[in-house]
Amino acid sequence: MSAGAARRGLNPGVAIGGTVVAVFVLVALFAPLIAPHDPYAQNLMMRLKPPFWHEGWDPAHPLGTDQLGRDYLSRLIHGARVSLIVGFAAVAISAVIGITLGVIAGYAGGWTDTFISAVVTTRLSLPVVLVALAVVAIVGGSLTVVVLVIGGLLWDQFAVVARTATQQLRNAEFVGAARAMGAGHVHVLAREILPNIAAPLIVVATVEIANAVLIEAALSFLGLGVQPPLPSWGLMLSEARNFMFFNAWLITLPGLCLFVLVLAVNLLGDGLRDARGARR
Amino acid sequence: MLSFLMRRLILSVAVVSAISVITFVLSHVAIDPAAGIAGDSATPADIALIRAQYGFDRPLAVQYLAYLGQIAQGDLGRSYLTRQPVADMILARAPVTATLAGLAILLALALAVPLGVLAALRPGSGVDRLALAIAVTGQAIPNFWAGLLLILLFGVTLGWLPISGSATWAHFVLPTITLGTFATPALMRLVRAGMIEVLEADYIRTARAMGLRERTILFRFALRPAILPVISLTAVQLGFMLGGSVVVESVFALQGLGYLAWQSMTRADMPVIQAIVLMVSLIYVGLMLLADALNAALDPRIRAAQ
Amino acid sequence: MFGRSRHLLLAAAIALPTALHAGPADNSLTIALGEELPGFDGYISTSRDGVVVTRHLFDMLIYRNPETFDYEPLLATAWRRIDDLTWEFDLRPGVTFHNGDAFTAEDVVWTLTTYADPATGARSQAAVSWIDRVEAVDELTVRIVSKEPFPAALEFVAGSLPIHPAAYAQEVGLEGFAQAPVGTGPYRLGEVRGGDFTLLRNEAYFEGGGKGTPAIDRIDVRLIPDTATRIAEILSGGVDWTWNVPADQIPQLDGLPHVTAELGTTMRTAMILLDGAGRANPDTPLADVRVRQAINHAIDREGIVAALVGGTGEVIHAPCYPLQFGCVSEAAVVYEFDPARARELLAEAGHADGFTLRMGSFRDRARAEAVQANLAAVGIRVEVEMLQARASFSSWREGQIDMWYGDWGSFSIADNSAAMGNFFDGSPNDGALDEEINALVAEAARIVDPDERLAAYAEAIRLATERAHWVPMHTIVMGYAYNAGLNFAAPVDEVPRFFLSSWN
Repeated sequence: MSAGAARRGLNPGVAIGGTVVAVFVLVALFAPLIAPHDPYAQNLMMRLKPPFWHEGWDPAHPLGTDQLGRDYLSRLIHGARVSLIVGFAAVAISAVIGITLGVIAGYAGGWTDTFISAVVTTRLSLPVVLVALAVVAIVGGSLTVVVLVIGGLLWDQFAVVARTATQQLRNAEFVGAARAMGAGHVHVLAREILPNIAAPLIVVATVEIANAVLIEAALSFLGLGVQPPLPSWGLMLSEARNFMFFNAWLITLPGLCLFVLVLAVNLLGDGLRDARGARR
Repeated sequence: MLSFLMRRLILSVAVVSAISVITFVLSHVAIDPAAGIAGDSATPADIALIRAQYGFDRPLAVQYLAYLGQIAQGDLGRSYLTRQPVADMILARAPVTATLAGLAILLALALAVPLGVLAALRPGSGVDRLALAIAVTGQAIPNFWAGLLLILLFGVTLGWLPISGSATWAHFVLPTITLGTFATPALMRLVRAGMIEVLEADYIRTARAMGLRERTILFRFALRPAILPVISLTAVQLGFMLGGSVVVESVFALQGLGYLAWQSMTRADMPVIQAIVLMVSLIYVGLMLLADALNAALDPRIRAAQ
Repeated sequence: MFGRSRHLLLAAAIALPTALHAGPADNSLTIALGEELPGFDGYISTSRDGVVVTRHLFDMLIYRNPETFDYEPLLATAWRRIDDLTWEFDLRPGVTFHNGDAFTAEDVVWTLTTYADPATGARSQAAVSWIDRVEAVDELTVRIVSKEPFPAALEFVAGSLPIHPAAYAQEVGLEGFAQAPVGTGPYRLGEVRGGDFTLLRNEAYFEGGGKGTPAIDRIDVRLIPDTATRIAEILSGGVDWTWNVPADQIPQLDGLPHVTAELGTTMRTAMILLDGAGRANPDTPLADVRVRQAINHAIDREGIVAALVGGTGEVIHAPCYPLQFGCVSEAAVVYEFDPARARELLAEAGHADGFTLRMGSFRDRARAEAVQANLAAVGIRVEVEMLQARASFSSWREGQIDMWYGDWGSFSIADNSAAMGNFFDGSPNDGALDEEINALVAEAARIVDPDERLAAYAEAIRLATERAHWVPMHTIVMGYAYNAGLNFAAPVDEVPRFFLSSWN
């Protein structure tokens, strides 16, 4: 986005991206109220009904039904829940891990820093998708496992950014003042440093949310993520593959949902970053 | 520089060791290896026999050391399913994945560099906006979805390109597009950012003032320093592609390492899973090391900071 | 700069040969199979895809006509029963293996003796365990002696016992043989590329056998495990023939001008095996017969068949294929779809709050999920694990899952000893471990008098359904999709015969 448009917090990225993400969050939160049908209710007589832009569509199912007669609109709506739960929960876990490691490394310096940096490099050297797949294959797939695995793997950027930001603040005057007044390390970390490094970390969070959503979709698509009958968009894509040649909507719709959500999150992240950049 | 590299090398070795330990422990704890080797026709007596024969009743640490010894000799074990040596299976499939990843990164660069340069030359213009829009959009498309749509459009509806297998170079077109375009946005942004920074430098303005043509300035003075960070990011992206190839190879039925990894995971074929994770980690770590080394070698600022 | 190269790219794309093969032009056929074959040994590779390939590489002594089910000469020209235990076969003279070796009685003796030995590891023991010994009377006459009277002997000789070359197989060893097979069949193995391979017409194939003379010169077999990709390849013409196409795709595929798609009957039956013996979980709720009966009542089999099976699929009530000899469906206890009754039974058994079970399956995810939903409605939570066929079956055999929604083709053998005989036998297939039923089934395989056999099987079926060891589900229809220019007849016994196919 051009620098001129990047005014504090109100640039197009934040506006558009933020709105769309908010819509998804609301849809996910109120899914049981919004969805016209139970996403798990099968009706074998109503299989593969087309959506409203094809002829022969059923008004009770404006976006059609899938291969087991489940209402697609309802499944897409509940799919938002799965994607956002994974996105937020996994990123929350990775944020806790990464920020803790990064702040400690940046604040303490010395051997602690070296050690933690080595851990970060180790993590960066892991092929994430492959390791996630392997763990799920061995342990068995479920929403919990997926959240834990992704959360346990996506903390590296949090650590890197937190460390750098903490290092820059470590020698700032207000920190020195707080220490001089007798504040303990923990107090300094919690009250002085954390609030001041929050801004770049929020940007990292948006990037990682997008990553988490895409990784969960990929894992579920490969059959090694969330298990049926849960309505994960990635799983819906995988279940629809046999039927996609004559019922293309079965794959275009979940894919579009993923695309729009990730796009919105990316726009939001870019917008936030530009807003910070413009302020400096 | 040398000490920096030595430290990174030692770190890399430690990383790979850690990965090998983790995968070893996981795979031996999750599924009884004796049962896996014995197959599903075996009686408990058969399984006990195999356990003794292969030494699975020894302490885990001892088994791990034996495992390391085997790897040193190039023996990666045998697949539970096909009984073939895993090393042979990997060697047979590696060329497909290597071709796919190589072509994909070349495509990514072929798209990213020109787009990034064009965008940098006219920041804020229509071209720039378009390039950024492509980057943002490209990063948001799930690559397996893109692959399916490409198959539907080019493979089935139009019938221009083959859909599965790896027999001719035409078979690689759709998979390469699917895999390569995923790396393009990040590379393009880096090229653009780097070019913008370089083009604002003093010596460029001097060159312009001296009346040199834009094209000369671009290719002789600006491109080289802007490309430096791209080289190391390329190495990183190449590593990502090894992981991303799992999805792409599955969608297009390419008999590569990624597809083998996924098949083994759905069949609980532990020796293969172990070996592939180890191999890919080795390559990944190697690429990271290469990226760091290139960075350090080419960018004097990093060297100076050490 | 950009515009010109884009046009060039498009032009190049259109000019590309999109199909690697030429199909009718060079009299070759490209087929797509879904399972990776661990080897070409017909006694080890007993998956259905393995059976198909084995029938092309090897011959049995007898050939069962796929339409009439009559026995026709193949490697044997005549046969007779000598006594209760002995069958004698006259062998065809002048037959050679793919490597030029002459076919003699010695090959029959060596092959059957080797694989009848349990140590060799033949995957279907029921196919060979009845054999006591094989003797060569002379160069071209052989006798097979069974341990006990075995009425289904000819069925197994025709369906499960391919003949290997003794000299070659001993020279390369069993593992070597599995990778580089040699047989007498209408096709020989050509190039192998990973999971793909080529079958080349055997120019020296003998005339006058039940398989006729093959018309197609070359069969390129491609391994494409993914159903959607196989369908895509048929649509784009990359492949000429494939099967395991989901039933609901068939009408639309058939509607396309360049594709013929049809549903063929099979002798394959689908069933849900229940781990009542507690191999996966010693405290399994499935040990209680009321729980198993509840599960039988909870599943809407008619609904699943009507919506998800298609073609001539129908519900079955006994653990065998209705047309197999010995499959006395009338003796079976029938469980109506009655979720209320299911809940009652579960409550009686002390499981009013329900429980969780792991179910493995492979054939059709939609059907597995339909069952999952049916059981969820009565309070049983089911975790579905979809794997490839062989891995899925292995997970059942190794006792890793509580239920297995699988299917069994009985190697297309029209006798219940190939159906119940493979599951009520105390082997890893057996999740019931019911000694009374197993004894009945074993005895029924031995009795010679047909009426006594029927009575024994009827009793076994009555007990098996009364005790609800299984949920017998439905027959399987097989979806075939192929190039409209191919003369192909969908086989009744689920063994496609490309040696009978040709191009228009």
